[in-house]
Amino acid sequence: MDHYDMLENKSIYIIREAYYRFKNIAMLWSVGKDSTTLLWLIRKAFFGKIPFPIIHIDTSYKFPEMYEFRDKLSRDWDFPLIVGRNEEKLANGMGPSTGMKLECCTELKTNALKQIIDKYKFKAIFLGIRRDEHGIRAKERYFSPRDDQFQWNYENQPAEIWDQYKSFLDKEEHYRVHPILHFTELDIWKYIQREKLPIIDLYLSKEGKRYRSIGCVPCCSPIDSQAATIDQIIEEVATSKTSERAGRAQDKENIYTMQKLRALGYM
Amino acid sequence: MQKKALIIGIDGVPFGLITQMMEQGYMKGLTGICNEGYSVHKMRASYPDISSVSWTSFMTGANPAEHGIFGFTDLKPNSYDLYFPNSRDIKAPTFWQTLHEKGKAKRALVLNIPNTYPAFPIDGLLVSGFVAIDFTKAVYPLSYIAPLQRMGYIIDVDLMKVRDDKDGFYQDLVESLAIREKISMTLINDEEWDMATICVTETDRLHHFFFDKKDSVVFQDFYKRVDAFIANTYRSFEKKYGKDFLFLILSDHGFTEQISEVNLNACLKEKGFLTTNESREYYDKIDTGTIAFAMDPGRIYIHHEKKYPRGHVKPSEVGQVKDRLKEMLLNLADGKGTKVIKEILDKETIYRGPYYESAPDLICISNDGYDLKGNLRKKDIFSTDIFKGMHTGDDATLIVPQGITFDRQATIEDPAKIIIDYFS
Repeated sequence: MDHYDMLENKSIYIIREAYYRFKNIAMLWSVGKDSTTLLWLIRKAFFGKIPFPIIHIDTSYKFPEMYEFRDKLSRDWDFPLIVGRNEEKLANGMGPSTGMKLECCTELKTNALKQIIDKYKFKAIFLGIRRDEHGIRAKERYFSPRDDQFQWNYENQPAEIWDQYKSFLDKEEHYRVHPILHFTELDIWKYIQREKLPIIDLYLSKEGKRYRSIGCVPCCSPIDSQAATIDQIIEEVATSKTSERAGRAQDKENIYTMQKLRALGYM
Repeated sequence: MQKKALIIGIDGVPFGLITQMMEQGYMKGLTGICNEGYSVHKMRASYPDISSVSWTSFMTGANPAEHGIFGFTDLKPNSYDLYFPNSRDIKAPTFWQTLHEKGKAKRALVLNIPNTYPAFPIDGLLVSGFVAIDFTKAVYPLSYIAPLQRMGYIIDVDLMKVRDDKDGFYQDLVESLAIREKISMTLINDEEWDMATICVTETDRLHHFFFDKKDSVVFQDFYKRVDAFIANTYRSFEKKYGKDFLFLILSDHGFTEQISEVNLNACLKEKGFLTTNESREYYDKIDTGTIAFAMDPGRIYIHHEKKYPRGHVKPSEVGQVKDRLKEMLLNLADGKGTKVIKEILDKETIYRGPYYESAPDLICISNDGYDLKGNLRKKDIFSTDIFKGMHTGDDATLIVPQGITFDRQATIEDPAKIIIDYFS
């Protein structure tokens, strides 16, 4: 079994186990690369027929390409789509320019999701977050046996994983499930390539720039990149990681220390 | 009967803000506790007012010249070699060690206090705080590593995430605080401790990136969570040991809204006090001809002839150099004509102890909003980045039993004495 089969199997196991435990479950889909990969894995887990709704939280500020992609894929893959919008706040003109950016996110994303969860009484939500979302740095975010060694024997400790995935969004009664936690950014791109998954072309370089992650138009900016194909993105992600890790001749702890100090404005 | 103590650190929480949050009803748990016999004091932080120095003064009850920590960064003696002082560089005993040696308090729980990395042996459990890197070196004794990992322990949030995803970063802070509370409660409830010293560092992170929103709902919501942390921890201690224990809360410095970063080395360069050789790295850039340089945040070092390989300022010239530096820096103003620096203190007025020689020659205290920086990278004197808050020194928080009073402003060196006195 190759690396990607293993990643896939882990994810599918978690997806099926979660569905078995919580029938009233849904998936949060941002239409970005990670959650589209998760959507594909869910589709595979249920042999092409997704048995629960897919939620898209619409802030109304997304890229036009994202709406097109969302509508096309929901038709092509034939799954029930719920679009969540905080209509009340949108009607009051909430946006990144009118409110503070954080309140905008809280209202149009977090609270819009809360409204959907309340309305449909979902007990659990699948999310496409990755432990490695920020390259080597993210390893510092969590320390858990399964993360450190990748020897997380979930089959033998089902009770434990659910404890660890317990929701922190609020104290309400729902769980968050992260089936692609173990994928890295590079894994995602290689898996997208292997499975020939559709992606939004905002990820691909046009005139020397591409988006590494996508969300609302006012709050996203592209990176300098020549990567116009998935192959080139894979190459870019792979090499940028290498250079990040290579560092200088200093010892690794000093590099990490410096990163952390700089992150708080020192040095 | 064995005496008990619970000490909660709230990193970067200013006196003015916590009293305001209490008055406005966002910290009902803490207000309730205070009504049972505690008072809130405005406390002086260490010089400079940053976590590694202030928390070291807290845990040793000592002046920086006694404990040897002057910043997150320092230079090795007789060189320009940058190093990051850590727990191994602390030269004074901590109150945990002192009380243990006196036989007054045995098992100590020390959770997340900055500058305790690498973890050092204590009678009890120590889990290091900022800047802990490798978890296996952040826990003493090692037998606690696996249980802490199973409970999902987080040393710190991913500080880089805030640049890409500020909302997600905020959620991480909420999560991290929740995990810290859960683990603190578990450790207090399941094990026996004579003293527990637990620090919340999420407040400092929140302030660095969101202090411009200190009157917002999001901020108030976070403080409600901090309040729950304090109240729940206090109440579990009370439930277990009764009302008769020493309880303290303190922060290591205050915060205010940042207007601008002020790059002191860019200023020193412009005024001819500093010359650099850009082909070298970090502080090794400091070149012959340099009279003075700065390190974070407002530490000014004179380029003494005997102290640095390329130094040339003679002891007889120091007084005059200091006067020139003070005159220049006190006149530094931004584009609107607002003065940046409020006060410059000579080392002899701040520091006393065996490591006096390693202390900075001058400490600059800025006017609120002007965040002094000691990097050698930025070319402009005034700059802005992602940061919304900056540290302040004279409005840290100290909450102590009402019986404890001060005939001068309380300082970060006082809590250790209070704790040792209580157990003695």
